[in-house]
Amino acid sequence: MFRQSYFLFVYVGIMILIASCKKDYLDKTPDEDLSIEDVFENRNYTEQYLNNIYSNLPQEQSFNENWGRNPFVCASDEMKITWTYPFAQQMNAGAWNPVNTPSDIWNVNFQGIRKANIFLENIDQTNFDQAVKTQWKGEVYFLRAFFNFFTLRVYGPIPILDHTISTDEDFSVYARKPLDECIAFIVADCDRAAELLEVKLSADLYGHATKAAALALKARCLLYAASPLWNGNSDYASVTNKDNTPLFPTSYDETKWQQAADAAKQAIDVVEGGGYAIFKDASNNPVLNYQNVFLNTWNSEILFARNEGTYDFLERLTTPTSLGGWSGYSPTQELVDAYEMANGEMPITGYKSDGTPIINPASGYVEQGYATTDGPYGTWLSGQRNMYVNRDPRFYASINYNGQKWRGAILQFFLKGADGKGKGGPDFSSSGYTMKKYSSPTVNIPQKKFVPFTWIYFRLGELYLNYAEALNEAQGPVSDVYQYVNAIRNRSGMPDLPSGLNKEDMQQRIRHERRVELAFETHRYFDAHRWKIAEQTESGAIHGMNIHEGTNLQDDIFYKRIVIDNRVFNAPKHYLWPIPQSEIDKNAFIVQNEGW
Amino acid sequence: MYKTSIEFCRHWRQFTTKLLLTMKLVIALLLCSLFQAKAVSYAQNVTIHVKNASIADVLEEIGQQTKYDVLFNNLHLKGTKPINLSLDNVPLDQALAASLANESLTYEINNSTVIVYRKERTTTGKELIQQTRIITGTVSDTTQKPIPEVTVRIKEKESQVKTDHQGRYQIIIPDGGLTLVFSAIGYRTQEITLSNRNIVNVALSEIVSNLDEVVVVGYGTQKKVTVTGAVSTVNMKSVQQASTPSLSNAIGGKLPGIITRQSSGEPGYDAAAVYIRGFGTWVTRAPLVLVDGVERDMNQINVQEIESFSVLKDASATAVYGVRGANGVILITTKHGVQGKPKVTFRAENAVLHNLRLPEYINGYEYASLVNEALKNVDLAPRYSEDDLQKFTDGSDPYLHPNVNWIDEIFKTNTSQSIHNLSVNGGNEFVRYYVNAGFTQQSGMYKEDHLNDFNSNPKVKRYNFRSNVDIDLSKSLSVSLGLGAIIQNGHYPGNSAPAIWDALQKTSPITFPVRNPDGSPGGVLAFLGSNPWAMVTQSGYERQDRSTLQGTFSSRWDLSSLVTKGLSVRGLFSFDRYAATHVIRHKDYAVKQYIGKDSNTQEDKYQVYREEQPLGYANNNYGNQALYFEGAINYDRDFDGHRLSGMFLANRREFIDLSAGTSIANIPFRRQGFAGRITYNYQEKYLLEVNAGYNGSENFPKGKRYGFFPSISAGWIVSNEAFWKSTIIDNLKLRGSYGKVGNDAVSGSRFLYLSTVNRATTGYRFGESGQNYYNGFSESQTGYNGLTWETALKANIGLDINLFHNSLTLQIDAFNESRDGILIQRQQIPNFAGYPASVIPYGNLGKVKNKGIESQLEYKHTTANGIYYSFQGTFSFAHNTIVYNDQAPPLFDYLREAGHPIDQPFGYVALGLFQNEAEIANSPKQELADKVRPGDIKYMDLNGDNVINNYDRQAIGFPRTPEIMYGFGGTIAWKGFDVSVFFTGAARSSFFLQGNVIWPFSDNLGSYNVMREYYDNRWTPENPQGTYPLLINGTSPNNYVQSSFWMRNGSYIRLKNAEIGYNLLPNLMKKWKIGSTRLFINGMNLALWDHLKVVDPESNNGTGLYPLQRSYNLGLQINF
Repeated sequence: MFRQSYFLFVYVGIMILIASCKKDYLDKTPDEDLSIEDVFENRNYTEQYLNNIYSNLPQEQSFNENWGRNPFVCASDEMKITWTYPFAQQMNAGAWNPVNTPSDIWNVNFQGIRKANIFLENIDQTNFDQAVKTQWKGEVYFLRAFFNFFTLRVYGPIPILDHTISTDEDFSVYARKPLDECIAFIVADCDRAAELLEVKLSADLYGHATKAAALALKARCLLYAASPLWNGNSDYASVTNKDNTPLFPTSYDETKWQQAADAAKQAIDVVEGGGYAIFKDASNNPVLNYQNVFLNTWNSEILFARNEGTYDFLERLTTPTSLGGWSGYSPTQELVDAYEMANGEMPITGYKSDGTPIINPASGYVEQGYATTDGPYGTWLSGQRNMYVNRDPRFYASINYNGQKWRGAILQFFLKGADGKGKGGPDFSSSGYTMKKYSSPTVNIPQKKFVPFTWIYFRLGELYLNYAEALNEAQGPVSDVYQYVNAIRNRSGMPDLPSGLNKEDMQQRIRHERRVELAFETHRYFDAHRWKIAEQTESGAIHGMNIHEGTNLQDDIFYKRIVIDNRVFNAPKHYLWPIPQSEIDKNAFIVQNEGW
Repeated sequence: MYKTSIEFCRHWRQFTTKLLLTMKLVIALLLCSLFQAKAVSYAQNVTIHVKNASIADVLEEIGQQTKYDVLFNNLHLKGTKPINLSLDNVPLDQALAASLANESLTYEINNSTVIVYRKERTTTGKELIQQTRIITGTVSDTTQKPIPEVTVRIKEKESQVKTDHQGRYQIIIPDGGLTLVFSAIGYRTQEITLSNRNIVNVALSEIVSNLDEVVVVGYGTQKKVTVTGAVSTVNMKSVQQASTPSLSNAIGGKLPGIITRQSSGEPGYDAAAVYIRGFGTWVTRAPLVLVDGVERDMNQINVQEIESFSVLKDASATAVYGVRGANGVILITTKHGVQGKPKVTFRAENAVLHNLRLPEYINGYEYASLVNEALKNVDLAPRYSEDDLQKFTDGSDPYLHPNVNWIDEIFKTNTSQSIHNLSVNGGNEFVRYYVNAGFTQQSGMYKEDHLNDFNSNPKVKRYNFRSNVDIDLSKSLSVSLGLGAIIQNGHYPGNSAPAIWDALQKTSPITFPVRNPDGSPGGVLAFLGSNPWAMVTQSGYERQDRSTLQGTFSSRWDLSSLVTKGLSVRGLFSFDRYAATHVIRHKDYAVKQYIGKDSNTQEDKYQVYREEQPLGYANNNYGNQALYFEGAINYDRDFDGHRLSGMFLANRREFIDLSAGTSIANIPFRRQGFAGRITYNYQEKYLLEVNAGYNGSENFPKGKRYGFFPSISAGWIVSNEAFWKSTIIDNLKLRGSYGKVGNDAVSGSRFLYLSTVNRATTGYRFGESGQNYYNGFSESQTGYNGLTWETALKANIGLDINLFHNSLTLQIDAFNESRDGILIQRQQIPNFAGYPASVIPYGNLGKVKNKGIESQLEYKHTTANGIYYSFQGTFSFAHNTIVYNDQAPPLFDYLREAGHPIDQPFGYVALGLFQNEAEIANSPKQELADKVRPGDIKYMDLNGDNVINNYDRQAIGFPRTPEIMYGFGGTIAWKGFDVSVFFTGAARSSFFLQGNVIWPFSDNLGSYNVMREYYDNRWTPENPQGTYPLLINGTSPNNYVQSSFWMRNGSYIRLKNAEIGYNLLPNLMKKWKIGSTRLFINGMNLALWDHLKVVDPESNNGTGLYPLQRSYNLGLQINF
């Protein structure tokens, strides 16, 4: 009996021990976890937080994926993408609306803005190295301006957030701000950033924002603000907030051009004073002078760019299939035809109703037949179509065409060719061209040999053209206009512009220069929109070579211009993107853009 | 206490020696019965050496050696003393005499029968034989399983015997004996009038609603009659007829309230999704599954190890699980030992598996001509010439104009599966044991390349060991130890099934040949490394070794004598450990394209795209462990018809992901709580039950962690009332319950109340080289301090009715459930606020209603001439409706998700195919594609804006998970034969045909094969009757979107399994001392009636992946 009682004690004791509900049993909070406030206590953590803000910058070299946030290259008249899934295809078909339009640009930029605001709200409460804090604050002001501008250029006026919003707020107070307020906010952030930042950083910090980046952003922003789309555009007079505040300036303000010109000139002066310069290859080969701007990472012309490390994705997307790529980035015939002849003449001045070109007899351009000699610097080979002979060197640096020698192979985009559509599968060039710009001759895809890659957001070359354009609009073709456009042309071995152009001719020359010089750099779409010419450039037939036929390089049937896309552009609707419907569903005070 | 342990030790030793002996015997018998079919001969001589043996044992041994039937009446042997014998090869007479020497017993030999009886009887043995009859026989249940301990009584006399553990009896019928009465607990008593037969085999039918039947309920068991909650159980025998390694594939339609869907047949990944009463939440919908009281995976348990399977459905049954109970609970218990001699069961099953509904694709000629047709449809020149088409047809140029049926190239017709189990069950009054060893092997369907030194066909081998030992330390104290070990070795190709399936679909019959002329895998650059045959056979292999250890120690102490009658305490501790190692030996095989013969040298020319790489090596380890404690006090006592029981329990669980990738994931998952139950019944007429759980989850902030979940239920057993006189209705019970349960499981998220920082988020590259990646920090989750679990208010009413002497039972339940506070991320925070999707805080926002009805019907009957038949049917219906999900009010009301079920598909409403340009011109403009052609799908304009775009989508059809599931079947048994069939079905489910193989050229011309279903039924201008839309040379944004056009009725009825069994030669088995040997053939997934025809109706939306299999299974079960 004694033993039984003893056992009972032990037993019950164990039971109690097992079952006793320690209240703190569930208090196991992650002891190494941090709150946002903790992050800013520590220099190292703060730096890592800053790194993450940078990651919200778009990966614009991925023209095909929504996460790259750049459908613009393929939605402009410079490119046709082969595959059907990229959103650009829906834009080109006119089959987009507030529901099916990806909201990645809106979402990720606003996420970046929130991150920046968290940073700015917390950074002053900490007490590590003031110089570092100043530098980082400048970077974050720049990043906030960048995210705002990259949203603004797509949607027009947006809600402006200079502080973080908690999840329990009344969101209805956040309506879209009038455009001029948005511009002013971005410019103010750029100015603050420029004040706090160095012009140029040491090499180990490349990629961080600089004063050069801030001033370049400001210049581009003011150029956009002065342009016809946003400067007194009557199409947008009816876009007002619920309280009847107009979102777009209703009257044209000519002084905005001068502001843009001043900003660009200031930027050029500051960055050139800081050591930036138009890049030229050591060989001074006109093709390489241009081609290597995009291959020599962190060359003297780059004001702000994103490192991608050793990068394969763009190479795979654009490399012709016989070299292991997917041939998807297919430049249009329209862009190919836009490259001048080496003598500075336009080869083609227009098209007949059947699509055949009207050739400029002064240019020396020959559409038919095949070359009998090789071109300089390996630009073309004998036996290639005459179309591709003696063109602007930037053509040879930007476009891969049928018969072109690339990475040791002769490219064959005709139906039965090594890169032709006839081999089957989803991957082929849909225009008979692939994009060569950004693509390195040393890459070898089957052997998985790739090179470091940077995507350039701002470069000095663009600033030159921004300045020239704004100045011409403000003052006409004064000497600075010639000087800066010619500097760009000369770098690539192209002759000066003819003197004595009037303002309108100069406008056309500058617009043409931008199209060629800045091809595939995400400018064409926005340029066409801000100039309000997209209803011509992004509407109707887009052409390419006849990829559906051809058995050899000199098969004439391949070199027939065919329609590869029929694009739909409704003005003014398609000039700006629709505000995502979900945003309007959530907050009825967000108004929709015109036409959507 | 001291005495108890001594005794225990003695018994233990005895028990172990006996067990060893038995095991030896079993093996010997197995060998004998399997390899020797020898004729019975009478050996006259006996060799016997025993000490302290009972006379009965000696006589049995003599009988065994001589093959004589030795008959005796146990009453006559009563009081005999154990004897010592040492006889070598002596004649039968001598042996018998020596055995009986010290007792007043004598014997008679008559032909092959020896009768032993008391000497003092006045009649001699001979007279006895003349006057009396000896009746022998076997008593079994309706499935021919022998029943031990059946009382066999001579109705007219006092005399009675009991059947042995093999169901055998022998009884001496004195003069005047006319009727035998067979009775056993749990079986209907049967009387047999003796004719002149001397062998009387009887099949007893089970009493359907035995008053003593218990069911397993939360943290205990209850008498079935007193259960007031919604609990359903299944007869494991019928589940065991399905020869499947995964239990979840065998329960659909077997129990009311369970809805299952098996979407894949890949070995090791074929488990079905299981829902109880559908689902009422977006977050974790799976029920809580407890095996022997501990959270464990039901698909790892060997079906043969299972003793009982209970499904707890309403608040009354699940409230004790508190925050874990809202999705229902499945309780599985494994078998335990029953006192008696060791019973050995050996069951071997071997099945042939055959793929069901492999997709049927078109051949090379058809594919090439379809490419030409697509080009023609957009006014482009054909790609393939007549000459090409001819070559694809006649195979004259197999390398440059291949015509490959990839399905045939990689799939075998048949494969195999085997399941073997050997179990021993028995015990004495102190120790009871059940041990089982199981071996399951399932092979995949892929072909192998015998030239490789690695095998790439999937093969899963699983070894299940289970041992449950119950020890009574004293009359009041018992301990149990349950050990389970599950070792699973899986072998897979070097590519995953989804990757192989993608390649299989992607590769057209004409893209490249299976093999080049030199035997290397065919390939082209655009499809680099996606030759399906090579992916299966040349890409190396993956080995997955998983082991699970499950240990459960429990004890129970009855404190009736120490404290008060009816009081007991019990405790349970379990430890589970899981470890898995995946060794991936992936190999990049060479990719070469054959480009024809060199025109000069006639040598084969190849373009090489990839060189062969050696087998790679990667080793991934996974592991977790779970500890669980439970302590409970139970009280159960009857006070003059007032029966009161109570249970109070405390528990705690800790789960650690040992291979967690982050420090937060590595923090143990903890839960703890209390549960209680009070039941009261008065004379089993009026039943009342209160259940409650109080438990907590670390997921929530302090103060919001612990929740109280009460429920109340009541029942009235009308048939137990004095006024109840019905002779038809034997049992009528009305039940009702109401209560609250919770669900704290938010998949993948932890500590939701904390605002946290992700310390390994996307960073950025800085520096001139661009190669330096700097890590990033970002907001990870926004904590919200008001968070708590979701709650379910559940009401249930039920009716249990037994009719016609309990041969018909019917259970009907109707339920209504309201989930509130479902943990979802807030949906109305504008994106411009800048919260990334993962950072948006959760809220207890969602509301869903779920209601339905389910019933179970069972009929069992044995006719006078011994034919047993039964019918079972179950029906489950559950329909949920979203009440609130925080969706921002959409532009058009029909886009609202609220008011529809969870997972409601939305899509366009198709009106058919456009037949001509005029029809297109007269219809609303369809903006989905830039051009609409005759043969394209025409949609309904829902908002009347004369444009078809994204706004013109509405709720169409049903969610994929069926709302109705049912099963029915029956068994007929007669004279050792039995036949069973079981059908399952589902309804109110929609299936969407979608994907690249039914949407031709959606990944561009030449990519992806085309289903014959499309090819044979496509619309062309020449075939305007076609039911599938026009194809063009690329994707068709107008046609290839989710719409009612691609929607199919997902209802089906399946002949899920059927079985024919036969009990082999009972007499011979008796001679061999084998209880029974049952041979059976069963089949699974034997027939299917549905609307889909080309895809299995249980598949995920699409065109079907790794198919389900039909199995033909031959099995043998031997009981000793």
